[in-house]
Amino acid sequence: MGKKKERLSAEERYYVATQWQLMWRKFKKHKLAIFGAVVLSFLYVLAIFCEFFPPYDTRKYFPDYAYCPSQRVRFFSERGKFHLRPFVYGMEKELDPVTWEWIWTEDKTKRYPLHFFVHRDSYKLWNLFETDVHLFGVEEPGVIFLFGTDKLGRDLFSRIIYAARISLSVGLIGVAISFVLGCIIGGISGYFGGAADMIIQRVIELLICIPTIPLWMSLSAALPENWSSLKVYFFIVIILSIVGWTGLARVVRGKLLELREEDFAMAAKIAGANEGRIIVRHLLPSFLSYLIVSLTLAVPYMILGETALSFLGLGLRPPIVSWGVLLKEAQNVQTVALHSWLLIPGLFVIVTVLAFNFLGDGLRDAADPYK
Amino acid sequence: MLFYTIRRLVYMVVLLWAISVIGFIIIELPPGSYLNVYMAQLRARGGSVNKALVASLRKQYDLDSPQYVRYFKWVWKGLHGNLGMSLQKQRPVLDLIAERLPATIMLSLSTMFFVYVVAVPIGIHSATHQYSGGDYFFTFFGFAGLAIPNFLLALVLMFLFYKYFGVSLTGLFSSQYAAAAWSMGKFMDMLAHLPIPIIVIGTAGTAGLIRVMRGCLLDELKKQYVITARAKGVAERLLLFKYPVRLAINPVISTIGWELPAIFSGAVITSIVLSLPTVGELMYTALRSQDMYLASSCLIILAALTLIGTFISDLLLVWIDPRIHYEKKG
Amino acid sequence: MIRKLMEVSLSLVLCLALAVPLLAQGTYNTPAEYEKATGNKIESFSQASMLRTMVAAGEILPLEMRLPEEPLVVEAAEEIGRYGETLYLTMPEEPAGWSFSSYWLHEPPIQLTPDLSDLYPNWLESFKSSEDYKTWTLHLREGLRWSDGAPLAAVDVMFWYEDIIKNEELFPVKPVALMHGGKLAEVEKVDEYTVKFHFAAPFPDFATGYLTLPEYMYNTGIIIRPKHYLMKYHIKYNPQAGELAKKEGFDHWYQLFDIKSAQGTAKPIGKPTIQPWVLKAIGPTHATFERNPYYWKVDTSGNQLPYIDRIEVKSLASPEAYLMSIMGGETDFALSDISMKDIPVLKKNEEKGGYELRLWKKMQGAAVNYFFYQDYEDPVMKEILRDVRFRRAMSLAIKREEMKGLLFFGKGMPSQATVPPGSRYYVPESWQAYAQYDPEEANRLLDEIGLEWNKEHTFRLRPDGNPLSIKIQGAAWALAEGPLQAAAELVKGYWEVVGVKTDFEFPEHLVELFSAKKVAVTTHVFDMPPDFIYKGWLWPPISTEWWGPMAWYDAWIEGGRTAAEKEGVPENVIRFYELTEEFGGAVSEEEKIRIAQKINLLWSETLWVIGTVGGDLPSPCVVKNYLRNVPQVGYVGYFNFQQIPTIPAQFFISK
Repeated sequence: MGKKKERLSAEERYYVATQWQLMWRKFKKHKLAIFGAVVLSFLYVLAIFCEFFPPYDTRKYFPDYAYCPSQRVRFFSERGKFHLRPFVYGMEKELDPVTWEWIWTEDKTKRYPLHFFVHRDSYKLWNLFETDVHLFGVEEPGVIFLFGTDKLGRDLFSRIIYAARISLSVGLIGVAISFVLGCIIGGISGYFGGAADMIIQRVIELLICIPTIPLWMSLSAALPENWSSLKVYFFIVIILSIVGWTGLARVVRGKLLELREEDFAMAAKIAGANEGRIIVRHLLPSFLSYLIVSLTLAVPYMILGETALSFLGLGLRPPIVSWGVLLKEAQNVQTVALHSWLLIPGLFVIVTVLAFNFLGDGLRDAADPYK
Repeated sequence: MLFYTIRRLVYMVVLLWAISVIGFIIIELPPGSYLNVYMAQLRARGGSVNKALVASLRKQYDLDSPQYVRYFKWVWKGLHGNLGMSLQKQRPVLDLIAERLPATIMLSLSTMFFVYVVAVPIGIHSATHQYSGGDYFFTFFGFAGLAIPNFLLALVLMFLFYKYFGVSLTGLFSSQYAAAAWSMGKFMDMLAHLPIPIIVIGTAGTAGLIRVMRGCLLDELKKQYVITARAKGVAERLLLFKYPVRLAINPVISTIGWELPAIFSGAVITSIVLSLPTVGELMYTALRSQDMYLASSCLIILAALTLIGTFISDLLLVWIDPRIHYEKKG
Repeated sequence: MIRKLMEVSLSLVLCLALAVPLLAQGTYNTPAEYEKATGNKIESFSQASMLRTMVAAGEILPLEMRLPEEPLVVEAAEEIGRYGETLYLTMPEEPAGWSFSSYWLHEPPIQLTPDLSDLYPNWLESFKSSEDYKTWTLHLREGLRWSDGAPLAAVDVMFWYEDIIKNEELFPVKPVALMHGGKLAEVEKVDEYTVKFHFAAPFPDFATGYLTLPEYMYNTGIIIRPKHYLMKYHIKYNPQAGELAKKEGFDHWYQLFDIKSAQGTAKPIGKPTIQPWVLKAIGPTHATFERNPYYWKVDTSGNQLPYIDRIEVKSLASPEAYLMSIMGGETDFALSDISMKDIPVLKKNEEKGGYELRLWKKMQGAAVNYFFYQDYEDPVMKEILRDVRFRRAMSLAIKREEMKGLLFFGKGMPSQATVPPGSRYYVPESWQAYAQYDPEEANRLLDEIGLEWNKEHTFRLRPDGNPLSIKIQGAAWALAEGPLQAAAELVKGYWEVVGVKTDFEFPEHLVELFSAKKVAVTTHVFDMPPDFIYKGWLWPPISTEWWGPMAWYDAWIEGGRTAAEKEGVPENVIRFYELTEEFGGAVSEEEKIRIAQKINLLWSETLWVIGTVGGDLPSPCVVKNYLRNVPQVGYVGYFNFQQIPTIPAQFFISK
């Protein structure tokens, strides 16, 4: 057979393209999906190198700068002079004697230019490599709080980036566990049918019918309270997966049932292929794309679930930092009324969830052979 | 049809029993019991614990007998209408739940109503004006509702209403009407308190429903008979609503019951933030103080309501669309 | 000899002084006393118009018959009030719960004056003790009636004593106060309105300590119960009581009885009471109270209190919704469950909500405290926790100034958790002991104990070679009472600087961990009692498990020093128990101050509890613009039960 596909016409190229190439082409057309993919890559890079990007460590606090609002990064000084190197002004505070509010103003006499690739507090990248390079920073005694600070004077921007690592990984790990569970159980159910199928289906119905939040509350409340934060993290992920896998199992089962009867599977059987080969070589690729879509759409559900559990006080807790933990700290009237910058982690959650949804939508459109 | 109904009923009962067992086991898992919490609170308040009370409570709640004994006693009593006593509130569980059921059901139904009233027209619009500005806007709006954590939205909305309208919309009624008998005033007061919870709980469901409606209608619109009708010169409006919408709406309406778990779930968080008198909120406080009888019953009631809702919705589907035979469905 | 004589006569004078009903700032025991003190005579009594209607309809007795012979006369905080109106409140607890009862309704036999400086007989007309303090004679106000009109007399006290306290099913374990001296006290009816309490041992502070809140609630019990109402639920008077209970869903008669006689709550509806407002209706999120027509207090013009006709309480469980409701003006008064951190947002919305934000004084030694549990399960850690040098080091390692700035708006002072300035038992050295920031000294002490640094000099090691790490634990339900979590985050940093790995968490169910001895360091917020009811303890007392096992205190109570030593109680703890017992037995103020000083110094020497920031830390109090007779400055604390001493019955609404 031909080794080269040279100079085929567009139409011919369409016909000889592999399944994956077709999907990719369709995917490219979905603008929102591309946008989602880009945003997510960006966020995951931030999460992977979360010690490098922010100027400060997650626990570093500045007692003199509590509840400081976001500093504006400027290129133009007050007198209109342009500086190539961006800078921030120093911040000054005053306590309002009547309302006891801290009023912050920029101190235009103190200018702190931003430096890039600064050597600051050392850290261990992934707990392995010792280094002290940060993406940006200012010279002391200047401070740079892109998103302001919290009640102890900790930089919100830094904390959000560190939190990204936890929140985004919860999503992936949780989905991975759900995936394994869902595939196994759905596979058994769909392929073997009969009594096993019926029992599994009823169990799934049962789990779906119990509203998730009460179910989570109950399960989380059952965790012994002297467990370390890490153990709690691990089990939170498992709890989130417990309900997650049902959706996937149903999808796997449904598709398996459908495809089992399809012509190409019949053909393979007639040709003498054994069960295993049929499943792996023929059935699996058909709905792998479908699976990928389901997984992509399951991640945001995990991320939102983590924030919900933190809100209920049942999920991750300080001193671990996740977006859910940050939102729980911000969940009070004072924040909304006086320090609204502390709600920015919510923006990150929203953007991440949207990005995953767009991506999933795009993948689904791309994978659908009937469009 | 009858056979199907009976079979589903039997399943429902079995599932309810399974839920009760799960509920009871889950509640019993945490170390310690409500009594310890009660004692701790008393002590923290500087009082020493009235040992007499504690001893009698232990006897009263069979805290010294094995677990299965407690479970069976509880089920037996439950079937006789006695769901036990809430340790913390010192009132029968049945009373506590019963007085919150109306609000819970009313909130869920009105949210569901809102979700459909909003999602269906938007879905139709999106399908008929695909890729337009409106389509993108609504898609985005729908997704955004899904993406915002409920508790955050509830708090922010509550504050915004306060800031711009000067009203604090906490709970289901304002103080003036909470105890009053039903009147027009009280009804209007309640309506004033509903927008925030309905918006918060409903946004997630709206998003999903818009997409489904849009997808189903798009599928219908591609079908032969639509093309034929168009060719024949039938007006677009008439064309749209005579068949495609009605057919597309089927899967949407028939899965109405399946919105319930999400609605009850969202309602729990929203009720906690806004202090609404729902069963979910009751369950939350019960779990925190390990008030086992109360928490267990709440879980079962919520699951039961969901089961009933989905059951009705499945019946609806079969009744509406006789093409579907559940026996054959894989 | 002369000195001894002077001491004895001083004591006698004080005893007599106690015997005479104490004149209170703001209240007068009888109209006659009022006239004697001010020269004004109360010509006649009057009542609210809604009550006048009820009298005319024959539903209640006429006013002269409803008031006792000698009603308590209350001086209004600002002006004589007007009858009528409904008070609207929101509360962050379930309807008709503990907080509302405690802060608006309680009527102990003896009450604190509004400025907490004195005590006065409340519904008792007088109380006095025998010379040896073993017998206390209580005289009830004659003519007092329950809220349903039935007369209140000594029979109700005897019912409580004979049929409730002595009933083994209701009270298998007797209240602490009644067991003073090791034997159950005897209560004797002298005449229709007088009872005598006979104790097995001298009990000088029975009246001041146990007939006042909070001990009255928890360690004595409410000594009057409506016999005419509770009889039908008591097996002795009604053999059918068991069936009655079963009908309501209970297994035993005493369970229903408990519900019907419950203290600490206004429930159930229909329970006769002597409180100013009576529960009329209750729902999932609201409760309605109406005036008690038989209330026994009048103002200085003879108007029967309370002024306010009705109270509607809306329940809001979530702290955000509660705060929002205050800002929105939904509640006419708010004091509980708001703290310093809420001041900015409450102040900013004064106009919008139509209220005034006042700053009341918080009764605290120190705002955030850390306790070192003295009987931790791990033997190595236990030894370290018991080493006073370790506790001192931990205290010195805390940057209190920084905490003050970050958590308390810069108010207050670095301090320990002992009695604060303003109290007569205040000892400056004790309050400030080890409250400075001295990391070098902290390090030196830790070195002295033998806790060496590890190789990388990142943290210290225990004698057994494991890293030295502790976990700070607090109760999740206490998080609203103070900046516990933020403080823990800061303290974690401070302690890690001196080499102690620290973690923190706030589980829901802390107490099981105590009994399992799994808690090393706890954090909590505790209030200080006003001087008059101070018992020499510092909070929490060791009998509550927060820093030592209950077994220790139980052993002491049962067998004194010998039993305690056998139980393994450390010497300085036994010393502490001895001192508090001495304090309880002290009669003269002088003696009390002397012993209290010793206790305070012992406390700051041993530092089982370390404080952080104390002193003048105000607490917000929200008062609607039209609510009158609320003091500008009051006291916020558990022991004085918030605003109860300010006599809410004399609040009124002027629209």
